[in-house]
Amino acid sequence: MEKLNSTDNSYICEYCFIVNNISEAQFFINRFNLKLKKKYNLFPIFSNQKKNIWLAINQDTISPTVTPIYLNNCANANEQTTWIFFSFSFLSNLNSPHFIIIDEIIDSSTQNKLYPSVSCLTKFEKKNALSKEQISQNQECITLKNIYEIYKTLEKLVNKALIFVTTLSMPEKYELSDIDNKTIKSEQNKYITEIMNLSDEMKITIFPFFYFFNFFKKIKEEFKFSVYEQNVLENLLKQFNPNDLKNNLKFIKKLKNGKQVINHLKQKLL
Amino acid sequence: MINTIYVENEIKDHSRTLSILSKFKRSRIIYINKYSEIFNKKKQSFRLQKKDPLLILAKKNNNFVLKAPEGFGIGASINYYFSHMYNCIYDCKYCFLQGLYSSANYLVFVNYEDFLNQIKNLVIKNKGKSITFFSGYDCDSLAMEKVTSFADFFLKNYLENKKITYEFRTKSLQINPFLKNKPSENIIIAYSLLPGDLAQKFDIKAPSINLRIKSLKQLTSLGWQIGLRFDPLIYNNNWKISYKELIRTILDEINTNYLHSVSFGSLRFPKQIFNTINNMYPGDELFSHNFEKRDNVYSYKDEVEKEMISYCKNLIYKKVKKDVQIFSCTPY
Repeated sequence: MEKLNSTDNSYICEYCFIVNNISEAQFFINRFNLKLKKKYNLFPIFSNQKKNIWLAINQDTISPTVTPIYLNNCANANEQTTWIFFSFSFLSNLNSPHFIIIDEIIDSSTQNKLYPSVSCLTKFEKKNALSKEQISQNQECITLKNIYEIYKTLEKLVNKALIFVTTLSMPEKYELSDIDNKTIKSEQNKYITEIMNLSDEMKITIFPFFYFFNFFKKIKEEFKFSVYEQNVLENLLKQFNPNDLKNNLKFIKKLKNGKQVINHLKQKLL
Repeated sequence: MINTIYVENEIKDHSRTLSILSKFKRSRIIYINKYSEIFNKKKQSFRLQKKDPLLILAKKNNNFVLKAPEGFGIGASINYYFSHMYNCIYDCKYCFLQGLYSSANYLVFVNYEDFLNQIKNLVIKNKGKSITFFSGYDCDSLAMEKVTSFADFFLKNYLENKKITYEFRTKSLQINPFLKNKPSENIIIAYSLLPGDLAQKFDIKAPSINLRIKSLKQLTSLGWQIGLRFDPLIYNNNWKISYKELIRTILDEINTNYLHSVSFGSLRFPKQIFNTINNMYPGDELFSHNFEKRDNVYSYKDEVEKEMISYCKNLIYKKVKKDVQIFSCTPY
């Protein structure tokens, strides 16, 4: 096996997805244009060109507790990385696909429970899930294969608020082969995008200091600043509330040069 | 609106649990074995949870009443505190609760009787000694009263004894249980107070100072003993004018015959709590004035602390004729 993270770790991993099979991965592969990273051979690992979005597919031959650790290393993830577990599931009492956030995970064999964080997820439907093999008939509760093991590992690795256990529950009459269905794709697109946006908002609250640094980095990439101006800019940014900065970003991007950026920020502080 | 409520299995049929749950008909209820499964987990975000806190109903098994820290008291020889709840619905920027727990979710212990039993045991153990029991150390005593009905229960069942004082510390306007009951000399409703402009900046989500003063007026008009807690005293460029105006307004409004005591406490944080809170509000005005570290505690400079306390004490002495008890509170 190749040594992980040995050379190129200049990128920032923003999102990590874990799925159980290629059907569940397909949406993410298409949506983010993910490519298989052949150098990682324990699990199928995919990433986009910018290397800010990563995906791993669980393997039946390896304990699912290894998947988050392996992906964490491959993706060079940090405490600001958003983790999304996604799986299809089936429920007998549904008429149409439902996107659900899981806030209670029950281990089928031991009946032990885990409770993914549900802070700020008020808009989403929430249910509990059993962690076991998916059975496609007569489902009255959600079953998500491997989820207990994956969550148990993840919650020790990363910030609990940034782990999202998600499922698209479908009426049991659906078959997995139906997943090309437009409704399903559109549901996935709508809710996964919403979660990614929400997690970005949440990070501003969780890591206000990091938000300044990321903001500083973004501004520095877009405009030229002298060393003196960089110091002025850094000190100015520290005086802002992260949400005010976020609201100003669009305006700042329209400005012509670094001097205008500094003047604009000074004005806003008056 | 509380979106999700976690309930310990052991108290799921407790009458108080059922009564609380009946007030949240649309919330999702999740049954758990121990509150620590949710509340004590590491890698939680306090600030994020504060935006959308959950409720946890649990049973407290021990340590119902604890010794208050040195320097925390209003004249009794022994001081204890008890908390039927951890965390607070308000979001005061200086509050030490932000650095105390990893979770911002509301944790309510429903076995209120056990708190009173331990209070009774401590009174027997310390027979003849004056004791103050403080409610509102790990939470605001009254802010969740509509949900918990703790004060209502307490007023119906507390142990009356001349040597014992109970203090309910609050910023809340939920004073109904007191308005419904006969005043008692043993019970003090103490309000934490800041000048209006500072309260607007720092007492996030808490009732305005004018409304707090209105509640104080209502309580004294009925004969309840009240306490004024200028804790923390917060420095800014206009602090003298602000505190003068605040103290004048309060003392003009309330019936000072029922003013039990006044206490002052400077803005102070143990190092670890200071670091946690400072990281939550980078560059905030709260920490921008005259802050320094002394013996692992972050506070204003000694001379600033002393000047503020002495100035405010004099304002009280000038205005109040009766011998009002004035205390300094320095828990760290």
